[in-house]
Amino acid sequence: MKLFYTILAAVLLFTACKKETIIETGTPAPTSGNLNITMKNMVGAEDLVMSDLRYTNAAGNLYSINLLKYYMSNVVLHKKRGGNVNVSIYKLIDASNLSTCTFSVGNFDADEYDSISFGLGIDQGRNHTGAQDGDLDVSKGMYWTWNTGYIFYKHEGQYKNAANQLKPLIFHLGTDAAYSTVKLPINLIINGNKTMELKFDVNSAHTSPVNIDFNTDNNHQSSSSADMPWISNMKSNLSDAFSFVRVF
Amino acid sequence: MRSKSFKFLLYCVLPLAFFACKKENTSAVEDKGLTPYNLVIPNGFPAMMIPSDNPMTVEGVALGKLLFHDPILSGNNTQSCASCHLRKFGFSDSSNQFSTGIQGLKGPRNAMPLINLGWATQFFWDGGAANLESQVVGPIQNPLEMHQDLVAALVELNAHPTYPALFKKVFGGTQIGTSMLMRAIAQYERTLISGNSRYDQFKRGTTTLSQSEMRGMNLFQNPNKGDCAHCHTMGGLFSDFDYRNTGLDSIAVDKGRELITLKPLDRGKFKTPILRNIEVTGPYMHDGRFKTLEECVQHYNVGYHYTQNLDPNLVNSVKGRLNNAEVQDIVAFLKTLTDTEFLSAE
Ligand code: HEC
Ligand code: HEC
Repeated sequence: MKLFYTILAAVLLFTACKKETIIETGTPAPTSGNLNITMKNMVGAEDLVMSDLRYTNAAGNLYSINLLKYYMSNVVLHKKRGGNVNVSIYKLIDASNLSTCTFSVGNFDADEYDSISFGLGIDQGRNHTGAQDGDLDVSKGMYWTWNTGYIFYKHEGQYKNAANQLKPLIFHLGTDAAYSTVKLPINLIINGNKTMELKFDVNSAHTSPVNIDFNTDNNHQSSSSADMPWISNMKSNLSDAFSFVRVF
Repeated sequence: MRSKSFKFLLYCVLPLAFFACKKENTSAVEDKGLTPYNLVIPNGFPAMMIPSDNPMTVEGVALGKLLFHDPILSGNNTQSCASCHLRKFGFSDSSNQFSTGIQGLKGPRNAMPLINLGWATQFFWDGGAANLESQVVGPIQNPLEMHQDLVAALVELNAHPTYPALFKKVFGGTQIGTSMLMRAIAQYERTLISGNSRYDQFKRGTTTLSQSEMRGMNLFQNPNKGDCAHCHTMGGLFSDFDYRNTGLDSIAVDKGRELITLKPLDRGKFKTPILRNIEVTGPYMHDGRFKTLEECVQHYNVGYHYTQNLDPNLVNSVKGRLNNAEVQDIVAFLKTLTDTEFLSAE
């Protein structure tokens, strides 16, 4: 009788919180591995060097990057044989701080994955409150206090204008309209712990499909209706500024 | 032996099984040794929506009240929220058109009263803050207000002799984080409820209004006269919580709601203010341009500009529809919304 109660108690305790789990019968218990993502922030083929007036974009503007931060969120890994794994994650990448550029996405089944999607920015569901922790803590400086919401992408630096003068460059991209989903082909086999390297090319964020010329677009803070065209250009540019490098 | 193990199951294990999955709620609050805060909602008011991740507790409200009044949150420790939001003025800023921040700078807008905030859905004149929690860090960081770096504010709080223990009691954790600061102050703000003015007492049948006040109330609601209730809805709240352009300027100086939605159609629109305690919250409008209630009423009577986004209710109104006596009656009615109990509470 005592044993019965103990078992009953144990069952109650363990079933109480169970989410639905899918048990694939007939297949051997899959092994799994942890996946890290490492972001390589680059300008063209060069590793990013902070605060150096050395880059030229497609419009021919010479410019620098004194600050570069962006949010990656909601990672989805797509299995080659179909099906995906969704991970709710909100990760702030700060190009000047390498420790923020590698992060764990979680544990994945041993399998072959052929593409990854992630959000650039914060989805609507999480973008409208500041009472959040971790990388969404508003003291990270990526939050607008006068218009509740996160700055998805922040680039501050300088550029040389048409008259050869040094001018400030301020790009603060945000609002729900700016949220984009990036999808990349990858070549990932999980059969143990893995690190996947992805590249972000800052020049590409100003280039394709829309060329952004700093002489006309140099101070956008997503705060006026005049910023709308720039928001939509940046959104499409950013969604193909990322690429897969390698897995190790 | 058998009955002992049964008792063990009944009293210890079963409750565990039930609590294991519980989200934050009243009993979870009690589990942490906190006392649920009993909000008293005035008759005729709808229920207040409390966010599920910030349940009201006596301890949380007390902590929020302490923080609201503590200059520790400002850059040079000279200014608190209460410096610009004073209870006797309905938690607005005395007679200042524009409040002065810690560096002597003035912002472009009139400090808002903090009354019945728990029923509003967005905050600031343009509704830029999406909830009460999110609003809190605005004034702390604003260079024209308390001008404090959030990281520095948290360092100061974490090094304080008493705050760490108070925060830990309410929110757990080992460090005071920004989200805790936001939640504590929001809890206190939700307790600032005013619903016992002479108007409320009249609605409850415990007092009578004067002839002039009664006429004013009717004019306030009459669509061909004041037509005020169109936006300042009757009942408990006196606001539709929508954004309206009341034609204060022919060319909007402050873009208002457009700053948030980035839509030109929202230019010059501002949140409909709740008119409670309006007698003491002057000067009036988002930029504090009017000193008296007469000026406000006359604005709707004759003053408004036929600007691009002027609210349709005003487009359709007839200018000069109120005579002087009627203006005075509406002002008399507005003053019945003064709640002396609220304004003089501790
Ligand atoms: C320097 C004066 C000043 C200080 C200090 C100040 N405020 Fe304000 N408050 C204002 C002004 C001005 C507004 C209107 C701002 C706007 O609409 O842009 C406002 C608006 C608000 C609102 C919006 C009310 C509504 O109905 O939408 C809330 C809530 C608020 N303040 C709370 C606080 C809290 C909490 C603090 C302390 C952390 C604080 N304020 C400190 C001046 C101040
Ligand atoms: C079209 C909607 C609308 C109508 C109709 C309307 N109001 Fe308003 N009221 C507003 C809005 C919006 C504001 C804030 C405007 C601003 O600051 O730009 C406001 C502001 C006020 C204020 C100042 C409040 C403060 O806290 O500073 C008073 C007083 C007022 N209204 C009274 C009235 C009266 C009396 C009437 C009728 C004669 C009236 N209103 C009709 C929308 C309206």
